[in-house]
Amino acid sequence: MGVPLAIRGPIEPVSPGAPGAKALLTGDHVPLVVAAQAGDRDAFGELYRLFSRAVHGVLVAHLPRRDADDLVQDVFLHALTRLRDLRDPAAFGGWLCTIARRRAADHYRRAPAQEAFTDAISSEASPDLVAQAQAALAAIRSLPEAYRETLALRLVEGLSGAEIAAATGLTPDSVRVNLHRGFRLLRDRLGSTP
Amino acid sequence: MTMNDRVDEYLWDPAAPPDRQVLAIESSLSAARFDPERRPLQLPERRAGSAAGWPLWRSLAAAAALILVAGAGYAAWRWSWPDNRPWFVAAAPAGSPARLPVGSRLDLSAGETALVDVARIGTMRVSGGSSVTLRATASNRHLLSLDRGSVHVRVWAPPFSVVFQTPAGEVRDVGCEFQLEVDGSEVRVRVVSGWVQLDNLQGEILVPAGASSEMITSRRPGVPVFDDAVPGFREAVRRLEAAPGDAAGVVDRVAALARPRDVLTLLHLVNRGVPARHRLVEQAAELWPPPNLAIINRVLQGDDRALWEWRDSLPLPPVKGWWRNWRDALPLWLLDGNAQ
Repeated sequence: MGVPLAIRGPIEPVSPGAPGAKALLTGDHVPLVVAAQAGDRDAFGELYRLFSRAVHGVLVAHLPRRDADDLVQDVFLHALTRLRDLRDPAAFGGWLCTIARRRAADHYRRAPAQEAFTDAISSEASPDLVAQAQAALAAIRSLPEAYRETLALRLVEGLSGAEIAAATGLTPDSVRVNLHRGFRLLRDRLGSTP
Repeated sequence: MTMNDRVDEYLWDPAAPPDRQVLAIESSLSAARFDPERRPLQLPERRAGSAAGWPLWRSLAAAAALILVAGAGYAAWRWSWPDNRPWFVAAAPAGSPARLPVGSRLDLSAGETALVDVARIGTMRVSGGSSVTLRATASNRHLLSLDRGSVHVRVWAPPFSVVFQTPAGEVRDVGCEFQLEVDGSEVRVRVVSGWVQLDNLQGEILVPAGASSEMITSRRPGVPVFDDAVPGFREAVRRLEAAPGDAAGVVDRVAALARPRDVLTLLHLVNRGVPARHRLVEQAAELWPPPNLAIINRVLQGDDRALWEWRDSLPLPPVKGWWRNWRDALPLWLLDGNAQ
């Protein structure tokens, strides 16, 4: 990769992941899913708050960041129209991630050539940081399919391993393996050494 | 704890002591993190009558199914009637009974009227000076006799649900509204909607909405004549029916006064023994040509099937489409000045 990861001086601690993501671990989102299935829009809004980062993580593992940002809304609107088809409210996260994967695949099929596959990162960040972020995202997307989403959810969205397992429906062991192997590959591709 | 353990531990749990390599990547990527507070969910306006996640087509399908079930239930209830159960009198002169039992007769003086519920399938308004007897009642089969006077009947039910015996023959509803009048031995029927069948020992005939017919015992029921026919047409038709053999001039008059709509009358007259029937056929062919010209020759040769083919090509409501006259199921007060 052209922009090796710089590790100089103090590194700012990263803020926690998805707001209220702990609800994923406790199953507190299940009543929200049931209420949303009955037409409660506030409950669906709360589900958006809990799961939007997980959806974004899945999308950004496949698409440029700006497209991923835009598609989060689409994924939730599609989920809203199909919510009554979901039989197991506890499986909401995995179901939502499946919708996100399909939407990403559709989007990629529709406009693979026109998309400049670059990532617009917040203009508030320093040029160095922007370049590092773009390189890291590109490296994540170059990883085998099995590692991409797990690493994006962990490193971009800040979810813990347990939260990733709860949000995606993967087993905790699978998430742990994906993080371990995926990060080693990512580190190699970014040109940094232990 | 090895360096790899430390990496794995921090990868699994961001609350664990951070690893510098992971933290460096995570720190740079945090700028790409999604913030739901800055990009709130924009839900479309909820459509009226449609719950979230419940597509409109499902609501419409459910509503349609509900209407079908309710409609079928209502129809079954409407058309059922226990055997020999009395009819109910909705309005009658003071002192009249509220029910009309099977076998009883309703005699009205001049100036009196009565409104009777025809089971659950319609109403019958009885005019002053009428004498009507309820002979039998059952689901989809109600038999009456009208000895004198007139009745106005509105029913919405399968054909032949209501049958009147009269001095000149039987009058049967075919899902309709009609006026029936008995004057001595002569019967007159004016059809408002649907069809009515007239039947006596000489034959039978179907009269469509907008037309009238007359019946006496000694002749086949009269051919239907539309009520908006030009003046003189009905009289000429009745003269022709009464004396088909010696009325060549009348045939010409009937042909001359006929409009396209009156082709039904002309075609009925063709097999009434009129010697100059070719004149009727020619005029009918000019006003409303048959589906194919061979039919004309077949009709002239007395082929009744050809006559039916020609009649079926006329712009008349289908006899079997009685259910289309659903307006006859509505209460009178919903319709302006109808059948009053």
